[in-house]
Amino acid sequence: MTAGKKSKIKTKKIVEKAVVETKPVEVPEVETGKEWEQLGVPKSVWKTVEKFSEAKKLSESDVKKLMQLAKQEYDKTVVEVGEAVGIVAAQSLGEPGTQLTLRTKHFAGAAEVSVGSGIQRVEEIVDGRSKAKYPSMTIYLAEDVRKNKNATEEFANSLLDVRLRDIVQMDEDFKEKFIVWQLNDERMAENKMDAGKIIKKIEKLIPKKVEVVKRGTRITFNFSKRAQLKDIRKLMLKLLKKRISGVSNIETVIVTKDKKDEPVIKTRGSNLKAILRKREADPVRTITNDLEEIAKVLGIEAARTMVVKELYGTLKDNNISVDVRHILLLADLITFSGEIKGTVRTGIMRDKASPFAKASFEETVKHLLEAAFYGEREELKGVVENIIVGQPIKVGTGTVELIMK
Amino acid sequence: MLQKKIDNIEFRILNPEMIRKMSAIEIKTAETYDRDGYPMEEGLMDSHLGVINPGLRCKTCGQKMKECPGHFGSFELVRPVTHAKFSKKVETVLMLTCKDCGRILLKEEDQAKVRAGNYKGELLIKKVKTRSTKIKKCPYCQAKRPKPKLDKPTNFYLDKERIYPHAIREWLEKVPDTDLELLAFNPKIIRPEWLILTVMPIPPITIRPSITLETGIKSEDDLTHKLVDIVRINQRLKENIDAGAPQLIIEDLWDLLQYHVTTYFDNQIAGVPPSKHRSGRALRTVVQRLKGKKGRFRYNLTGKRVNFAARSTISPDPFISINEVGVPEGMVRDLTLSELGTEWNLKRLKKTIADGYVLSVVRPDGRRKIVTPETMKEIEEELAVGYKIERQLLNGDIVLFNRQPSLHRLSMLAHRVKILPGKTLRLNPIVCKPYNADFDGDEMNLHVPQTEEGKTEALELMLVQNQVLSPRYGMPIVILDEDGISGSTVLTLDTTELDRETAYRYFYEMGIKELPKPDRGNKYSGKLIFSQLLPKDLTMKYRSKMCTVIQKADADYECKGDKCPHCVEIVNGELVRGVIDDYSLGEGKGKLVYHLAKTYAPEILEQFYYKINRVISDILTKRGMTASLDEYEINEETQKFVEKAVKEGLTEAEKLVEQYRKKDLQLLPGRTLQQSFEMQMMMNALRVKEKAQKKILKEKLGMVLNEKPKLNTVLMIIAGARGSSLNLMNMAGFWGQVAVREGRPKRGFRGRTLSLFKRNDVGAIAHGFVQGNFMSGMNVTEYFFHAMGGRQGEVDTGVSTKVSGYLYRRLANSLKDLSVKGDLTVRTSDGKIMQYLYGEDGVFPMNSKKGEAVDMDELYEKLNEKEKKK
Repeated sequence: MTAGKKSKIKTKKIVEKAVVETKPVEVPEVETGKEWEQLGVPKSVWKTVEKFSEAKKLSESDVKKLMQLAKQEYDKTVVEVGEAVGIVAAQSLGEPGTQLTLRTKHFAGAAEVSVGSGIQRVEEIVDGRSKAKYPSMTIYLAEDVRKNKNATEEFANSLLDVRLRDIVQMDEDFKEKFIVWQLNDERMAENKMDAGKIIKKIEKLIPKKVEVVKRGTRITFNFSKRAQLKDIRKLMLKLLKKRISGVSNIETVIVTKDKKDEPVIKTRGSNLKAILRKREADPVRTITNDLEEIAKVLGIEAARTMVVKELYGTLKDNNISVDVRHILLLADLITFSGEIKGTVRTGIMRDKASPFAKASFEETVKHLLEAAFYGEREELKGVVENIIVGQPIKVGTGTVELIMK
Repeated sequence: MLQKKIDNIEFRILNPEMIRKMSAIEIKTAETYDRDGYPMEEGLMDSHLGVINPGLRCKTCGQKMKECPGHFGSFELVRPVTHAKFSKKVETVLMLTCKDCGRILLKEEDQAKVRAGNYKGELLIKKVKTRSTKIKKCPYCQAKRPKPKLDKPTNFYLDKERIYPHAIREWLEKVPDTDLELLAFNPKIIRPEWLILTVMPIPPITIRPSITLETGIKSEDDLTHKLVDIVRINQRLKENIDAGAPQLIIEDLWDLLQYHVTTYFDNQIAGVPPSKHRSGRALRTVVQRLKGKKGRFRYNLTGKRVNFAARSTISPDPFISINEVGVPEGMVRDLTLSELGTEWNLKRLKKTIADGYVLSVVRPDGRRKIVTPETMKEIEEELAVGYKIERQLLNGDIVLFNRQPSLHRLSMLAHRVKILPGKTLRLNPIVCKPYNADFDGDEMNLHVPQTEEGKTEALELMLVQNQVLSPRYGMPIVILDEDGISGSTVLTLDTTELDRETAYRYFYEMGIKELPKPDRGNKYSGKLIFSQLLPKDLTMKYRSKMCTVIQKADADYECKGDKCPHCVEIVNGELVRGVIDDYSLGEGKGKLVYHLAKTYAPEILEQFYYKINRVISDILTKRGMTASLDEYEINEETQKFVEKAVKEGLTEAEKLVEQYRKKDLQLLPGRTLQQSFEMQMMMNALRVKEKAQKKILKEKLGMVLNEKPKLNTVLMIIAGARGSSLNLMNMAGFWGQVAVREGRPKRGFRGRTLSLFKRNDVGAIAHGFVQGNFMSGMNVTEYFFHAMGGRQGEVDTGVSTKVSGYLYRRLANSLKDLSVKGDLTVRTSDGKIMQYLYGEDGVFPMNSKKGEAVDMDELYEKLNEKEKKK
């Protein structure tokens, strides 16, 4: 409970900050007149025709005729009332499920960060799990950084979450009550860090009370003979946990190029809030695959878009063609309540009103007992409910009734 | 037709009064049957509880077995017991109310505050709890507050002293209704004391029938066993109480009674040893009956058994239409269909009777008459409007055909019956894809819709020809594959020529009356035959699979565009060049079928399939599609090339090993030395294989691309019917690198994969590089590595089906209530709007043009056509 509250408050702050630091995004002008509504086609169709006509440089009368034709075509493609689109969507996503690979993907060739792919990733998204198993970010860069290779590298390295314990080798002598820290050169080189700067940083972290002698890359702590071992340990552990550079949770960074040959930083581990605040990052395009984080930082609509994108992408990677509309429907369902709710017993299923629907899914007895205790009413509106009592279901041809006299 | 309809169902908890009121008889004895085998009066099998023997009548309602639904009885417990499933609720009440006065342990002002919050359920209790924690004395009667504790699942302690159900019950009775509201109770429908059982409902015997075995021994249902236990212990407890037995003994018996009641409800409660049958099998009591996959809900209520169904092995028959299903003669007479006599069909019905297809006739008053050869004449004459005939299945009847697992809606389609000799159900192989069926022993189910509504719906919505397009992505899914593609390719190869006799037969099969002129001297080309299948206004141009395969194998080859002999061009329904292959007919890629399905009436595609099947089947049987060993033997030049490639690959691998040893291997970004090395070794092996693969394919292409093409594996690959150059490679070339868990095999012995390698050998051969192939065989280590890879594949599919099956179930359960409403919004069954317009543009994927609402190029063409006409 409390943790949830805290993070919510934090989120608010970040969002405000992000807005302040970002360049204002150009808001498209409010469109006047809704020609498509008059014609009776959705905006997307209208726009496609418009775009096509512009490209072909058609005359105005031709455009009009084309619009009429589009309208005729469109009318043929519209869903039928009553269509059980939910079931069709579930089938479209579930049926090819066995074709999904079990493997985690390690992008051969252009090495990138390993990302869960195949059925694991699909499950992760669909379940609305709070944490992705392989959190990863794709950080796009601000223009000046993007063009400067060194700056890009530097920025990438500055993101890496480095704690003191990662670069320090510790020797303890509890008899004489002193502790020696030796900076690990190899590790430092790996992370491209400067020893002098690090030492200075460490100095700042050490409480003033402790006596410190430093020599080169070696720091010696001298404790008074009376100091408690427990306290020393506590202090040391606390110090070692301190971050000396980078952003928390970012474990690995790799500079690669995206499909359009633009340099991007891929990371293992994700921290959207912090990265968005960085001046060097492009806050508009930078993205994480951690849906929960997106929902918190950017809002539920962003999360919905990401659900669609991720699911569509994963399925495409596995050579499974599924129409976006099915995925859109699923995404709309799991983000409907304002937070990501997975297709699990603790998510969407719990919110269903019907005791029968819940009982026939999972935890049958629990739901029946609850229904009895609270005196719930089964309205028999859904599909399973009516199957259970042996009545026609109210989707498809069951939406209409025929009265014969 | 007047039908009772259930509007809603309310769930409640039975109160003792209600249990007594609805009881048909009070059970008093533990005995079930007397010595003569008749049910004991007031016993657990009393005939007041319902009938399970045919012929007997129920003592309560007087109805027979089929009509009497069974009746509840009741049973009085001498001492009350806790209901294990509600003990938690009882605990909260005990925790939050006063022992003496029953009032809630909450100050008046706090009560008001909580009430104002309007909380419900668990949350409400939580709020009350937090405000109540500090109260040590009852604010209303100043009694000290004891600490109740629930020892799961049924026992309660008060300040570490046991408190027995009768005391709990008295306490609960004292809690006033207004206070109950704050404990998430709805006092209008439930009182907490009802959660302590004083009287038990005895379920009707219809839900726990006893079975008589062949030996004549009666075997009781698990529930009856448990009830007998309860009644028996209750009796003993009663006797002991009446005899004034010591408290200790009474308490022991009381606990035993509690145990039996607890396990009667749920025999799988943690901490309670499950009640067992004599044989040691755990009893299946109330909760077990409802729970899980085999429980009442999922097994019987959401999945029901039906009549008018049949099941048999399937076998292929390319000579029936895609809309048909071949039903064996033996099946046809057992599957019946009823038809109502009307003034329009009376004549026909009379004829069916005369033909001997009718099994019985039902008069308007419900009386049934069996048709026998003797009565046939008489019945035929008697038949009038309002009579119903029950006849066997006939050609043309509409039935539903299904293959499990029914993963999508195309797993159940409507077909027309075609009665055939034999014992298997016959299926056109074109319809295998949607069912995911093959003929290696698959069985399928057949259902016969009985009502006019059912038949009409099946015909209009589910007939195969109306379900050619997949709702998943809007492409044809009822498609020719495998031999169908091979056949089409063979037919349309440039070299295929048919003499007049054969060609005429094909024309006859196609129903062509005006014979086209031979285009190859005295002979007909295959392309010309194929052209006869196409609509006369069809004009298309696209690339063929054959062209892409050749390009893949041969770097020098380039598609000549409009002059490419392999690519397809159809002008006004005439195939002028190219071969018809996967890219014409295949799933998701087949441009020709896509066009036929989208632009024309469904019958056109159905006829296309019907005719092409006949031609293809004939061509393939006459010419013989076969595989022979020489397809997998490569010539000397290729052999040398492959050997050289492997050698080079191995040297390259050695180089990598050397670099790895010296640690000057080029690191891949974000990877350690080890990872980079493994990765590069994999990639190296892959490169070698690819190189060899291309070479082999190139050599093999010659087998088909000549004057006298061989109809073999290579043709299948070229046509895209089955297999790929990879399979060819594996048989003729070498297997390449084995991959286990996305990498080279590495586990096994310490520092090595197998004991016949040197320790710490990281080279290619020691880690699964296989130089052998399926033709010449592999050596021992290679064989073992190959098996490692094979096993992983096997395990993966197993795990994957399990995971995806559950994923699917959850998806389906979450999504199934969504449907399009009259205003094109998508809503849940309780009216929540999910989308304002389905899919944001209202387009159903099945009707879409490759996922788009409109196909602009097509529209543009149409526009131009219109202009021309003017």
